[in-house]
Amino acid sequence: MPEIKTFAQSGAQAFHTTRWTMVMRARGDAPEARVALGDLCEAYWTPVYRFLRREGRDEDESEELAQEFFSRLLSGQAIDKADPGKGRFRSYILGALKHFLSDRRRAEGRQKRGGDAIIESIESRDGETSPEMQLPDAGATPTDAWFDRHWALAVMERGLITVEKSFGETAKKRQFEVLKPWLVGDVQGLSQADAAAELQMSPGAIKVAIHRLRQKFGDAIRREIAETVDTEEEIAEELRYLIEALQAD
Amino acid sequence: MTPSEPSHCPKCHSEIPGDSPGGLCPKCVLEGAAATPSATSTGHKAGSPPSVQEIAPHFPDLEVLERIGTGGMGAVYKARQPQLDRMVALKILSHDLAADPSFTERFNREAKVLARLSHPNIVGIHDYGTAGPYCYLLMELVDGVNLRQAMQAGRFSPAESLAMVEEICSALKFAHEEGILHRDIKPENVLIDSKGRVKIADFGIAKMVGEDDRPDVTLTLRGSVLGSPHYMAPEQIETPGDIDQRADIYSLGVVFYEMLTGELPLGRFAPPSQKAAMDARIDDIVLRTLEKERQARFQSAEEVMTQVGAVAERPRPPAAPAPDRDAGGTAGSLSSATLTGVSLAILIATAILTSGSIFSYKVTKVIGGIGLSLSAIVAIVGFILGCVALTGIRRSGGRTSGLGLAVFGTVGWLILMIPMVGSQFLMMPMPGSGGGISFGPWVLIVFLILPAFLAAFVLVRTLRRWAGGVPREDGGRDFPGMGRGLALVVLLALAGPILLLTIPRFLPEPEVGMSHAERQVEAVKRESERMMAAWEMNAVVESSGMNWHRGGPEVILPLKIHDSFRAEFRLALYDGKGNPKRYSQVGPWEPAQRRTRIRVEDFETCRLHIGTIIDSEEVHCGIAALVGSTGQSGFMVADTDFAEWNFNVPENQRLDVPLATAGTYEATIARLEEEVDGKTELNGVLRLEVRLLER
Repeated sequence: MPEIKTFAQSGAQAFHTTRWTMVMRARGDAPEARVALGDLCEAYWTPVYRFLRREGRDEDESEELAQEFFSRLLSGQAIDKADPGKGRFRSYILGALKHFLSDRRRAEGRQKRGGDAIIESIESRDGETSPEMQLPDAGATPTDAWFDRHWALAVMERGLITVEKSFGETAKKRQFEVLKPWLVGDVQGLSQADAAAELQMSPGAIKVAIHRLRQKFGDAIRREIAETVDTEEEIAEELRYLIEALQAD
Repeated sequence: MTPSEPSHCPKCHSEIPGDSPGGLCPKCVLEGAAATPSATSTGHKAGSPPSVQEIAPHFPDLEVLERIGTGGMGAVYKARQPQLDRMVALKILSHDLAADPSFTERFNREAKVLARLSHPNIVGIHDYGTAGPYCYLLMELVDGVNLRQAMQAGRFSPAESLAMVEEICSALKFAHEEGILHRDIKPENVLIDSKGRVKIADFGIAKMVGEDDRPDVTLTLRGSVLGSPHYMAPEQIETPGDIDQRADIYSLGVVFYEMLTGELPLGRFAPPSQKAAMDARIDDIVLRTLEKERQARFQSAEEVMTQVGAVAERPRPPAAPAPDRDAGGTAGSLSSATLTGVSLAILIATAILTSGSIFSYKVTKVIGGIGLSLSAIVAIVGFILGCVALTGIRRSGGRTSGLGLAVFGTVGWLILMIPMVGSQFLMMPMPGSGGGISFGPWVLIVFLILPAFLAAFVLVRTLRRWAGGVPREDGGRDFPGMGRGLALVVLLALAGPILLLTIPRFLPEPEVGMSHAERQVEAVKRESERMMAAWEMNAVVESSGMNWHRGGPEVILPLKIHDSFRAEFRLALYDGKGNPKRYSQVGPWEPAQRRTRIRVEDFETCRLHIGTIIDSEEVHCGIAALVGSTGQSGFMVADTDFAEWNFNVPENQRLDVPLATAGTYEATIARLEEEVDGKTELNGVLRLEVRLLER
């Protein structure tokens, strides 16, 4: 994995092995793998919570359920059941979540709407991309695409937060706020001159700052994704997939 | 941070979902992130640059931190000099030392020269040398991005591009003057630090790593690594051994074009103003830097800088992308436009001043003088600038707008100056010829302005043809019709004076029976009368409504009298109807006497009088007397009438008495006021008469 070396810049040698790889290798047994999984779960709590909400639960119930799901995940039950060696963390979470929900339904002995859906087992899934899973009542049960889209949003949000934190407080933070719109690219309607005036920077300095902001953001996103996949190619692929997932909305 | 209303992405125009983090379009943001190359991933194409671990042992005085870039010339590392506690950039040249034993020598020779380049816009070289298998340069670390990255962050506005190019030019000018060519100007080598300053990197490195050894850079593997040939001047590719500073100017042109348009000037490229709205003059500059023939290019970075500076300083509203224009000559339109604008403005100003001066002598003296010298300077400057512009236009084959204006600036304006200057001199009093010659306006028009206009017309026409490079039917001479034109001009210029001298009725009537001395006396007399008229007017105007007892008005009277005369001053008191009421002799005045300033306290000793008149019939309050002194002794007020006056001298009032032999004389005068029904009215003026006594 020599390509991953580029991320060594962040100073965390741990990224040589992604957290997800570590979790998978240890199959949930090693304590550090537990910690790593805990970090990951914390990071992607939002898409899971939204998924549960989308199924028609209220806030409290969704929160409670998400809590239960993750605690089960962390206790290793789900890991043991699923074979995480083949899937992406994103796919794994979705699969595990569906498992968890159907288990729960079965246990409670009441079939909610969509309960009669054929739920594919996680073992049979292709690890590369999320398979299209048709649920009979798509209105109530979110699709995989829906989940992936929210996953992408979570990645983006985490990237933004990382970059924003790197700007620190006070004056620098203002710079982030003003320059943030340029993260989408070079846009006609946005005036760099206005931004330069507001931040009291020269037009050249603005360009430098925008470039750095994008660089930082790009790196943050890649680092975020790098926690769940191994090689640089996979990072690029996952990023492309997430962009597609956003379009699918 | 979530926007309350659905907004649209400024880039893809789709609606931004309400749950999008930061209110940004998620798709565009992630696409942006995907488009950003990883900061640390470096080009692996250039072989494998040594790793930090590999080079660190060879630089014990440095803490090599990380590799920050790789290029055809080598790899750059960020390092710290612990001794100086500063960050530096360490450039390891990618050169196989074993393969080329002469390299070390050349490297040392070149590096020594480069290390001398100290300029705010050039990345400075701190040190150089060899360490182990490496040749290295220790350079200033520029905390910023290169122009390529900056362009990716957003298109440069024309104004920003101009500013950048100006700075690049400044660096190139400096280096070229030191005899150093960059040879590889491209966006990657133009750095912008975090304060927005431009720094040019890799000066002369191309030569150092041996560009000269490879005649065809584009075909060798090294050449392709070295840099894109798109930025190279044609001659740099064709005859790499024979290039000069103009090759750098071409490369600069490519960078300039790319900054403005976001594209490379390939093939038959469109002028920048067709790609984006900008000042059309920028086209001229860009196209001239991109001339394939280096003779047609700007010859020095300084020239580019001047032109760019001119456009940046006086921005014009951008022209809409125009239809294809002939990329012809350029310098002419620019400089002629500038000079003509200035010339016209001053021409109008001078015309106003000059015509004003015909009616008022005072104005002539005070403002006319300034206008004259100013316009003379402008005429000369215009002439020089015009010559430069015309040369440029001619070199371009006349394919330039603004030719007529340039020619006008060169000759027309100069010729039009003649009647202006002429009229000024003719309006001035000439002591030797019995006073100023008074011309009617028509004389001026017929004998000065008209010939000048004709001459200007002929010259402008001739010169226009010459500068325009219009092919002549009879071929041969460079100045078609120049001889005829010049003859006509000389003829017209002479016509005025000749007519004036030969036809006596245009000259003022000589006073019959007067000696030369008498005429001089008359001249002075007239002069003084004229001045008094002006003074009197001023006195009336300026004294109205002022209270004498509180200090009184003071009028400065300029008197210009030839110092070979004796003059007598007389004070006269006039009533409201203009009839003289009282005179007071205050002379004679000796020319040898110098100007004296007498203060009121001194009056007693000087036996001068000042006070208020109380007439027997009516009360005239506020009359002053004045007058001169020879210094200590002073002189007497001749008119005893003054003795009747009731003196009422305000304290510390100053009385300036004019006694200079030449130059400006000062006199303090007072008003004549009358009290009618308790109201003070201005009822008369005090007049100072100057009478000539003898020569």
